[in-house]
Amino acid sequence: MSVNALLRETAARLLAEGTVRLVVGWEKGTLPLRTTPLLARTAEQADRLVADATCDQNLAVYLTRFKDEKVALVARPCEARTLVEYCREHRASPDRVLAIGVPCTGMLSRRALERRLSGRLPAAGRLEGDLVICSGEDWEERLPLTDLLEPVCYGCRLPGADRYWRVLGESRPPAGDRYAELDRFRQMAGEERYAAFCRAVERCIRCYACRQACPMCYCPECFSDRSAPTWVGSSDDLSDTMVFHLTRTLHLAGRCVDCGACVRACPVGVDLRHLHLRLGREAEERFAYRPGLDAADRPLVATFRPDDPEEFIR
Amino acid sequence: MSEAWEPKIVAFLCHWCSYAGADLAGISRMQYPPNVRVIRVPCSGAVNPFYLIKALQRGADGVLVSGCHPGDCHYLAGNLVARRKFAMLKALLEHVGLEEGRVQFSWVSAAEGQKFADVIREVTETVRALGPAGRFRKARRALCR
Amino acid sequence: MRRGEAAVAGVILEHSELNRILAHVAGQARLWVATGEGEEAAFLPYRPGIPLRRGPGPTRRTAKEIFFPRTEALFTFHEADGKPRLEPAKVDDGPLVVFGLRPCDARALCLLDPVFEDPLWPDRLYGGRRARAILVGMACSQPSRACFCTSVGGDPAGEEGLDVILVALDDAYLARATTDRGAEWLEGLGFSPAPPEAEAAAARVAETARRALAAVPADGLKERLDGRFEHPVWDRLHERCLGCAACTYLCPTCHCFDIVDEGGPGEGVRLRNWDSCMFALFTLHASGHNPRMTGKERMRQRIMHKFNYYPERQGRPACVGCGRCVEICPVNLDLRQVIAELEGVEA
Repeated sequence: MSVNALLRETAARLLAEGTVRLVVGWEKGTLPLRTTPLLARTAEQADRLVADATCDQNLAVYLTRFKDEKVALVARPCEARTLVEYCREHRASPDRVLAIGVPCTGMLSRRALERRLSGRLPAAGRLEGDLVICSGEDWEERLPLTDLLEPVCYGCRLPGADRYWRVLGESRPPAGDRYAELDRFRQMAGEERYAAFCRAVERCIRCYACRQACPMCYCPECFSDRSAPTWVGSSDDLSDTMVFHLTRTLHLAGRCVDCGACVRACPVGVDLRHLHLRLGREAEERFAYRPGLDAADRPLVATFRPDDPEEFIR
Repeated sequence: MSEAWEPKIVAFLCHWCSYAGADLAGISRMQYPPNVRVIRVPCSGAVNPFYLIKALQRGADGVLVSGCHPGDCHYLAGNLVARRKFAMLKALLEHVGLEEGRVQFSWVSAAEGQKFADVIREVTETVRALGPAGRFRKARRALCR
Repeated sequence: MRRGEAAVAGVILEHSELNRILAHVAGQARLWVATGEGEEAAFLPYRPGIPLRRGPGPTRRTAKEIFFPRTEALFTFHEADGKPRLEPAKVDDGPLVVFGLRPCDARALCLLDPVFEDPLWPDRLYGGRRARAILVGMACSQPSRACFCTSVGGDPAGEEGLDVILVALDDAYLARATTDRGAEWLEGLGFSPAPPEAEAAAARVAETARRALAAVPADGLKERLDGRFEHPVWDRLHERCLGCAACTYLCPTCHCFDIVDEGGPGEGVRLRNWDSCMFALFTLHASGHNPRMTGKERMRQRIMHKFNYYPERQGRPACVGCGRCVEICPVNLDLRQVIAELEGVEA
């Protein structure tokens, strides 16, 4: 049975049995090679579920919005890591949220595809095995999916299988160095790094798509929305936009599960993943702490070890 | 910048140790550079990293956070939790191009007046050597675009 | 902003001439050009060698930003001799040319005009920039897959709001003035008159573009939404919405703003910043009460404003079918689908 068929059957059964009231998954979207979240409440709706490489939002974001319902979440490693953090932060407990683990071999990158097609917008597209097939009025391209994966997929980490309550297939993420992007950025001198950061932030229009798409940005009121008094100015001032992004990154220190939803959500191509990677690596190297993997620990910056390194303190 | 430039340093001092250390330095008539603007906080653990970013944005050339030595925290472990937050903050700011030395941290107890004076002198000299801070700074907005 | 009728025959503009002409124009007016591709496509001030945009559909960022920027200083204030002093922002009404905007973006400006140029409260900053602006459009020869301009009264070769329209032919552009101002501007550049077959070729380009556009059932939407404020359709429509402002900030007709003061002791500046009805903060009262508590009320506001309230006042929807919101929504919550769902709404 295909993953989609298995998924639909599982979801339909969970809904019919009354085990859950809502299944959060994806369905085919309105644009070629895109999916959209599906909030299925009936077995009939659940029949539209899909899980493949075009699913590129982190669905866990909806769990904090439907917090009074018993929910099944279609989960790839991105969602699974988020669930680990949700358990740690008491946002979701196994008696309310049930995960349906679907296999993932990496997400199709819309940006990589657009670059590969050099501006041609496919009018139709589909996945066929390991091929991405897209076409316009008078052209067709058959491209290997493995050349068009999201950067976050390389070296993707899977939490222990105990996090998946129903596993429909095994994930095989592409091997690679998660920190390659970070290393590239760090090769630059401080001045160049600042200039690169400025160039990225200058493009930001403060639409907060990154924050809203982020499953770990679930604060009822974001610091950047504080208006009495104002914490961060809301104008196009570059420093204010920096303050927003830096503070958001810090709030995600040891919490970011590196799903890349923020980067994919950005409508103007601001990519600040390397900021989160920087803190992710700091958490791992300095505190042996890996967000999204070990739920037993207390949150990174809510605790300490007496022997935490402090070479930077006078 | 004119020759008259002096580094402006914001120091967040914990009420129980470092602020008392500063007091001791003062009572003992120890000399240290007058470049710090002290903000007394209940605990170094109460210093939101946002305050440091904001201080740099609004014109500080350097920022210092000083608290109790590990084990001495009035709230038992505020400084130890703070230690993690500041490691992250420093890593992030320097990652995006803040010069090393603009944000600094120290443990100064109520008995360490001399250490307080030394820390302030060292921090001031480091920041002076770096020159006026330009990065992350909010510019005054002119009327015309 | 009505302009005089003009019936001017088209002229031919060779591709190779374009850069020389733009450099010439930039010497006489502030010139903005459509540049960049994909998510980087935007209007930027002209500089020699700037790559002109070629891609399909509209630019990612809109031409409204030229007239209604994301942030604008309205006035500064300071204290002098113990009294408050205000210094208003200067109206910038110098010559301005926008090159390469799509007909949908020009039409969107015509929808913004009644908002900012209301006779009772005209906005002098917006009005100043609009007053002498010459909009040189580029007809859409290849709409984006998300475009639906013809369903909301637009056209890939529409002239509304444009002073000059260019149509890309195989080896040249056919340029036609659509206003007196455009005619005067075009005349000053001196081109050869277009042969009759160029007009026919341009008509074919427009027809091909029209055929490529999907139809969205937006006819009669205003009436269907009348009295549907409490309809249960709103309960589910917003569920996938993340509550970001990507759609509103990249919409060429969304025009909500917030007024804030920034400054320090003794001085400051009053700013007008873009704001979005999709944010909780948008309607948050000082008391802490928020009349639009959830995503439901916020999404309803966005749809109602575009397809009911605005048409109530101006007689047509505040949507030009540029498809940007469709293309950029992080969760592919497609406005075309929302419109289709609202079509089925019954009392």
